[in-house]
Amino acid sequence: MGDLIYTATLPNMMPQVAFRRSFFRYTRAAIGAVVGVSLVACGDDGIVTPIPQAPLGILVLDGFIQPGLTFLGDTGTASTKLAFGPSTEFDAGGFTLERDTVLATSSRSAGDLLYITDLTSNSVRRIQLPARSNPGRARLFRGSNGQAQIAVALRDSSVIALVNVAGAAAPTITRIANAGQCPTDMFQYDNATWVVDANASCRTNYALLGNVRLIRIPNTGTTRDTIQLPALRSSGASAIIINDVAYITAGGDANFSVSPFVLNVSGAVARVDLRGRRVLSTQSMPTGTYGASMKRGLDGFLYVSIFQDLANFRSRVVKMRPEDLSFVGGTVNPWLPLTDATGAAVSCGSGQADALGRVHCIQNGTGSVTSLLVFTPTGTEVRRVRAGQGGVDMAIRGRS
Amino acid sequence: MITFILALLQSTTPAPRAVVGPELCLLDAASGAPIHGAEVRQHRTTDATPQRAIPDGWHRWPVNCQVVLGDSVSVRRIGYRAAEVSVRETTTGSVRATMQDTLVLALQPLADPRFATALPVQRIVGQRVTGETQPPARMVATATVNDARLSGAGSSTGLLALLPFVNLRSARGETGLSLRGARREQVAITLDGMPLNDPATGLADVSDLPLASLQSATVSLGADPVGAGSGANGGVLALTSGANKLLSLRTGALGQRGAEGAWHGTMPAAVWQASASWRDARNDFGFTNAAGAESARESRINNDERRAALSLGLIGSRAQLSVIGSTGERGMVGAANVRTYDADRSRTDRIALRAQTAIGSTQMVGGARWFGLQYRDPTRREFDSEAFAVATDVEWLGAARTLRWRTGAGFDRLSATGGISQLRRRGFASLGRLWPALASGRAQLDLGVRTDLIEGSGVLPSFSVAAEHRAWGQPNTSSLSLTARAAQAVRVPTLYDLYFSSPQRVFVRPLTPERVLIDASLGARAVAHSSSWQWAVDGALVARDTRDAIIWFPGNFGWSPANVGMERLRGVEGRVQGTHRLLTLSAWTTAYRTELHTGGLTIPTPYVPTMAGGGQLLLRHRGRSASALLRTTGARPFTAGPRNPAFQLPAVSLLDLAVAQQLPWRRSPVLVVFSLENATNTEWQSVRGFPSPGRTWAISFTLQHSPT
Repeated sequence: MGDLIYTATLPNMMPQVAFRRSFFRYTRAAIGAVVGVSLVACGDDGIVTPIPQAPLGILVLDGFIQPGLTFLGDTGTASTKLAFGPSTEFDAGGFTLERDTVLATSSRSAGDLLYITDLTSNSVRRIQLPARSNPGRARLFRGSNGQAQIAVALRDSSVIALVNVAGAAAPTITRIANAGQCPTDMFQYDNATWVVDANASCRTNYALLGNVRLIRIPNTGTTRDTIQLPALRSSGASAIIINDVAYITAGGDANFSVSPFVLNVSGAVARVDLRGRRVLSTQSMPTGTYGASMKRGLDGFLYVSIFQDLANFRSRVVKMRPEDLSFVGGTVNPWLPLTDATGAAVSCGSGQADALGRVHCIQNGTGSVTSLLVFTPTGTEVRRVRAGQGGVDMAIRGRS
Repeated sequence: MITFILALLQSTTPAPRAVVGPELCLLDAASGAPIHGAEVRQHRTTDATPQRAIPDGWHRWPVNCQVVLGDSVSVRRIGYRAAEVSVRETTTGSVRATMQDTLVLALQPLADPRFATALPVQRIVGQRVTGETQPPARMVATATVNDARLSGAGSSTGLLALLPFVNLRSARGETGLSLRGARREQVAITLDGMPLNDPATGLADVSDLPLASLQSATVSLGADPVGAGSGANGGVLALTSGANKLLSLRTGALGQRGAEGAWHGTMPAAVWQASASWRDARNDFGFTNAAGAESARESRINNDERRAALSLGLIGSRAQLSVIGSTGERGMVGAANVRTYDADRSRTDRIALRAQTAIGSTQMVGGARWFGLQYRDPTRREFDSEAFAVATDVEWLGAARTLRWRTGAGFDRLSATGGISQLRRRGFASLGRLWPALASGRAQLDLGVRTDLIEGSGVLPSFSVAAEHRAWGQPNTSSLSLTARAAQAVRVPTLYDLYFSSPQRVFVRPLTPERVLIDASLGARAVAHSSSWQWAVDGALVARDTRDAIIWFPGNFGWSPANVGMERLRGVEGRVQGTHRLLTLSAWTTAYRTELHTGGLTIPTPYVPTMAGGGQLLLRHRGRSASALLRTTGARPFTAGPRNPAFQLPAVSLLDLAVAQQLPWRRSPVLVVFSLENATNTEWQSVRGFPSPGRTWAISFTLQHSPT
């Protein structure tokens, strides 16, 4: 899903073609790593382990240079790597972890592929999606026959692809057509497929056409419902579902074709009552910030990674209460005050807390060397371990 | 087709060429490249010489080799020190030449401070010069266009493929090369001394240069701060233009079609030369697409190319002018399995102008280069873009006794879609001296210093020192020499680097020049002669440390360059070449370990194989020739990450074969060449994700005017 997830017109001024294409591709992917989507749908909705336990491990997605997954334990420095393929075949900026399955997609710039990783066997399978369909998020769905299938938002086709994979047999793909201008995410609820439509011209330059929308497509019948999300603007938008409520995140809108960059709208999160099909509330990200990538922590809170501004692009993590979208933790600033042992502020992204409330996040240093950082619930760094190179996303494996 | 060609070869024999005197060939002492456009005056010095009509006064040689009738000759050419040499006496350090001999006179370039004294005239054995024309302690190799044609090359890229130590990379119609484990932008490429590197990207794509306009290509390994200046961290590729009279037609697999021609003539005060070329190809070769979910056979789409070029030159007694222009349009094929670029097109235009004139005993050189790039995406017009770069240079150079000096200034400018405009001014000065006969003539020492002043980068001094000691033997006979060389170099960030180092355009992230702290080599060179063979063996241990290497990594907002860590290279280079009247045999190998140390990671330089090698066998007999070229490269990492077998291209060996026959036709014999490239039909990738063609064939007909 690396290709889609940014919200502004990127500078159309690259004089060397090869660089230009790479720049666009990687820029989209890089921003997508932090900005565009919430990436976690961990375990069964609404279930929090009564007695908090340490996670089963941490997954870091290396989106660039040597794409693949880096696996780390809850302690120690050891890591293992599962390679996906070169950047010409994999450019995802994020992934979905559902139970023991990791789903990620390559955009149109890397061959329109779906990557399915089975964590129990440590194996990867690639599925070819339609050419130039520009896949976005992929999620596990349950088919009408009860079998699992994988839904993929095809941004350039306005289609939700339903991929049936049974053993080693050739996959079959069915389609839900006319799924918005640029579908970026989808979920199942109440005998319907709900599509998060970024409402952007994803086929060309990702320019915004309007606000993000939520489209309900019933499994039977033809009546569709569209819920407008007025404060949400972004070419990358995603959803997290908790019981009957959907939390839709959009990264905001900025103009990157001028110097200095101009922020039009910051990111925002909307609470949507799925049963009543209405917006309950909306929370904008702090003033001046850009991007919004949301995860649900294993402690029950929502964690949104943002850029502090468009000048230095410092990554920050915002903690929110799901019941009212209010910010938690920050006193001086709305974001979490993450510091190292000396008290100096630490910048990191793709934040998520484990069941003990310890925030985990990743940081890229010199040479894009990625580190996994862990902070106490009060925000003090207690662990820093190398986690591959070119990291763009992470997720914590919870105990079910 | 092959049967037909072989039958044709067996049925014809060219007419023998009448020999009326020894042939004198003029070469550049620094590179060994042929020199044309010189003025020659011949003298009779002995009464024993049979009476022949010797032309009076100075006469211009449009080509680099010509039969001499006198006993001695004076040679002068703009850009070189004048030379006078006897070709018949034996007591004055010259040679006794028979009418069948070919003699070589190596002229000293004024632009190169390493040559302060005249090199001796040498006699050619076989078809190649293996004497001591190369600079001290420098690994140098030259390939001529004539050899390239015999080997089936139809483009300048084919010429470069003949060169040892060259690691060629090609994708999306562009060709770049790596020398001594360097990245592509760390190799300086020149045409007759004029830099061809685009100031925007630091790269020089030689694909558009017409083969008909060239005479030779020479690679010199190692940093060359004094000779080539900023950017020559890994080495220098020096192309020389040629004066030819030919017409060549070529066709082959994948829709290859090409035509090129060249002509030259003399005017009262100058030699003029012109060449033009046109070629196109579909390049729709089949390949195995393993980048999708399942491997499948496919054909490349949108991989076609059309190129045209025109060059003009004028060489007078006191001035020289050369212009070259090219245009190329190609489909911007994507990586395997990527279909989103199936309609994208790119057009590249280049114009280069260079003029030099003599001012007293000094030379003034001026040059300007213009690069234009247009990218068109018919399906997404929002991505259409254009960029234009201009670079100008003025140099003044001269000599005072054994010292050579050179100074110059220029600027680089880039403008592009989106209101981008960048300008950078620069200047430099260099000084060099060669002690050619230390230790009773057995050793020579070469020193050079250079200082660049570049806007935004400050003052950048560098030096080079080279020493060579002949441990055994005599010059131009069998000998063994020990060599040592050390040099520094700098590469300032390209305009691209500077732009993308601060993608947010608000706080400019400083990007300093990368500096080769030391590029050192320690080696040996042996030359052995016999009555029919000449052997040359070179070997060197090399090491290079580069501080603040400029590397592109993904940052917090897209990819951007940064000064990252220390890059170290350690390795071995070796070459052996044997020359006989009938054949030339050469082989080379390199073993490099290139590592960038940053952030706790050890990263090998992408696309530099640990081991590489190659060899060529060229047989010639009475107008017929056969060539076999083998290139072998070990596994190549293709990412800026730690060495990982999952992210490296496999080792590959490629074999190119060619047979050629010269057919008599009036005064313009026709050279017919049939070639098989990648004869073993090996599937391989030059750049990861971009498959290269399997076996292809081509046939060319070259009508070459013979002056005698």
